[in-house]
This record gives sequence, structure tokens and C-alpha cells, in this order.
Amino acid sequence: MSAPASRLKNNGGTVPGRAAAERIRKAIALVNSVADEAGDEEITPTEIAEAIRDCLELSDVDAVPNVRRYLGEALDAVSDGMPADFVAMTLYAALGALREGS
Amino acid sequence: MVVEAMPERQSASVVLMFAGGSRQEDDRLAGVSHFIEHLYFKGTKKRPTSKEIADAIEGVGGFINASTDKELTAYWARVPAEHMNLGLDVLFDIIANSKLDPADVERERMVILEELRMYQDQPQDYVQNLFEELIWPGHALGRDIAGTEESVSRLGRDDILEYADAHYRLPNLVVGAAGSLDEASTISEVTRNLSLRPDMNGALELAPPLPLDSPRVLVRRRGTEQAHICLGARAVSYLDPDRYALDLLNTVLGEGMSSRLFLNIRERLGIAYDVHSFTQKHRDTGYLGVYIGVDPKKAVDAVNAVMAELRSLTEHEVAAAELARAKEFTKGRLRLELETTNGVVFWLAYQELLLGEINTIDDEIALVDAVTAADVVRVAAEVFSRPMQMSVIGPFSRDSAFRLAIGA
Repeated sequence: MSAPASRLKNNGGTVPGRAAAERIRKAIALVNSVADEAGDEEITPTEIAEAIRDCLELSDVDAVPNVRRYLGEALDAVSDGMPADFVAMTLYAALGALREGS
Repeated sequence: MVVEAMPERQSASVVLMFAGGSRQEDDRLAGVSHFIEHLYFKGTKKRPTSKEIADAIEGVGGFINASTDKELTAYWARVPAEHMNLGLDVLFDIIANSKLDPADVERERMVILEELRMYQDQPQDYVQNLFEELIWPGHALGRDIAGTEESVSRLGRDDILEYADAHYRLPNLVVGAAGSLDEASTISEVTRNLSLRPDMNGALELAPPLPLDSPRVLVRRRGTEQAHICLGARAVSYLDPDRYALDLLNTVLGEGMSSRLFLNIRERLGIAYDVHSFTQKHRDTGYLGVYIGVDPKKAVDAVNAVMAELRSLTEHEVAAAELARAKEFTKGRLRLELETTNGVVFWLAYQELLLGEINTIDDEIALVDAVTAADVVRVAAEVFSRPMQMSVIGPFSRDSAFRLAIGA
């Protein structure tokens, strides 16, 4: 017997990791626009750091091993003035860890 | 001596395979086996120039070449069958009668130094060298077969002569011949040519590498467009009965376009352009490694994805259909390798020299077929519980994210 259709639908609750993934993607987009020198507005390291801190505020990032640590590495990289590509790489690692752990 | 008559073939291949390669060299002599291999093609008393050596074989449409490995050095020729004796004559000539002219030594030194530098400009290859340095730190197995710029610059003609005299002796030699040939007359021709010294000059030293106690990452910063990554762990030797399970594990993981790494990391996730796995086996050690060629931004993500694939192989048995496919792949590749006389002669000589016995193709296929899914998951668990090692070449100024990925 198949499950009732209603049981298969998303009930509106949060899928673990989805919110964190969305915020990490936003941070990556910000960093990539710096790396690619795209966009008219100049994006400052402070804005990138804020985007990463937004990710760290979510409890989702603790649900999967290493996600918080990669985000911490990314934040350190911004503070240390590392190239945008390197920050992007660390954020992609966080996103990937979320994918592998979800 | 190993001989295989393949009467339906048009060619014959002959090989002189010597026990001893870069593994037997100490730091002072690093690269000497490879240096000798180059010098043996520079001229003999009978054929005084490299052109005359090449002409002798190419004049009948044949091929002649040599290769130096970590535990052996091989000189080979493939010729139309009726010229097999010529092939043997040229090979024995370069082994026993090379001039090793001082001017040739100096010229060849420059060539090898260029070869070493060229290799460093090929990150896809160089990253594997760095990986082997991590897998066998401080051991000759972890060193480039061609040596180092320092050792090659320093090697003198006397060092070369002394090493060649010590190692190019009959007890270290396996002669192989395969193709359209007569076994008795081949043996007679080889016997007529044998002029190497019959005594041993001490046993070949094979100091085992020390165990690895922790995972390590080596990042070499280069402004490359792609990141080049090798990661893996120590695995079994070519004498270990689990070598067949290791080979199947490698096939499932990363050999070919139906492997897990290719399908999941390249095709499904689209992270890496090139991802595959490989093994290397020696007398008392070996490794299973994964190569990743990837956009630098996705480098750590790709490492994490590979680590997830490795974990999966330690946690779940490979499905019956996947294992059956891996077995067919392995057996098929072996059969294809044995299509040519060259493939057969190398296969036989390797076995005789390294294993001391010769399995038939049917023996090998039976050993592959005997591997179970439980064997594969057991070997995966053993290999991937050992400290992971990772080398990276790319535009990276720190290694912390890479260390995090492999728990270093």
C-alpha cells in the first residue's frame, strides 16, 4: 500500500541544512563577484565577513561535521586579506560538506 | 628465461629485465639506474653511435626502448619475427659493450637535468611525485626515479661504472621472448649472447619504509589555472593475496568512465574535470591514490566529495552487479594487454622477476573471480583507516582547509 499523498508533501517545516546552504550560496555569490570583478558596486571585505557571520548564526551549520569549521576558515581568510578565490574555495567546501552530510 | 611461442603472430618481442631500480639507490647515487639506462643507448664498440643502435632495429621496422622503474630496469625490442636474433644481439650489445664515453656522460647529464625540470612543469605528473614523497617520506621509493638535480649533477662516471658492474649481472637478469619463435633456438641464441658476470655482488638491499603515523598535506603554491590534487593511503604489496581485492576496489572507485568517482564527482556533481584512482605496488608496500584536476575554487569541495566516496566503500559492500562489472573490466584489460607480443613478454618477465613464479592467464582470472564483496569492503576499511596523505599544486597560500578535509 502506498503512503497517503499528504505524507509525501513537505509540511512547511525546515529541511535540515537548506537555510544554511542558501546563506552560504549568497556569501559565495558575493565573493565570486569580487573574484570576477563583476558588478558596479565595490564589495568590501566587511560585507563578505557579514555574509559569512550570517551563515554562522544558523544552528544548521552544527548539524553536519566541519561546516562551522570551514565557515570559520573562510572568515579568517577574509580577516587575513586572502584572495577572494581562496575565500570562495573555503565556502564551497562548507557547502559541499553540507551536501555530503545531508 | 621466459619464452612464449605465439606462432600466429608476425612479430617477436624480447626483453632484458634486471632486478634493481631507483629503490636500490642511496641518496648519493639517486638516479644512477635511470642515468645508465640513457647511457646504454649512446654507443657500443660494435655500434659506436646512438644512430647506429637505432638504425639496426628501425632498419627492419622494429622498436627499441628501455624503462627504469623503482624495483626493475627493462631494455626491450619488438621486431618482425625473423629478426628476433638481431633484437637480442642489439640488446645484449648495449648491456655488455656500451662505451660509456665521458663526453656522452656529460651530454646525457644535461638531458636528464632538463627532463627533471620539464617534469616539474607538468603539475599533473609532479603532484604524484609529491604524493609519493608523502607516502614514503625519507625513503628511496618516495623519490623521483630520475633522482634529484643535486644527485644527477654530482654523479661521476666512476659511480656509474661501479653501479653498472654491481647490478648488471646474470643473477639479476630475466630474459624474456614472445612471439613467432622457436623455443629451442631462442634459448640457444640467448645462451650464446650471455656475457654478463655470473656471480652476485651482494644481495639487493630492500629496506622497508617506516610506518606513517599521521595524515599530512603538502601544498606547493603555483599560479596554475587548475588545482592538481593527489590523495590516498598506503595499501598492499604485489605479494599480498589481497592485491586482487585492491585492484577491484580501485576499479570500482576510479578506473574508467563507469567508476564511482567519474560518475558521482564529474558527471553528477560536476565538480572536477578529471578524477580517477590508481594503485602502485612494490615488494613490501603500495598505495591507492586518487587524482583530482579541478577549478581551484572547488578544490576542497572535491576532496570532501572524494572522501565521502572512500567512506562509502568502507561502510557498504559493493553491489553484486557493480563487482561483476569491475571483474569483467579487470579481466578484459588483462586480455587486451596480452594481445601483443610486447604485452606478453613483459607480463611473463615481471612475474618471473618480481614474484618468482608465473601464473597463467587462467590462474589470474580465477584469482580475480574469487574476490568477494566482503573482501573488497574489508580491504577498503583497512586501507582507508590508514593515515591519508595529500599533495596539492595550485594557487593556494595556506593549507588549513585541505587539512580539515582529510583530518590532518
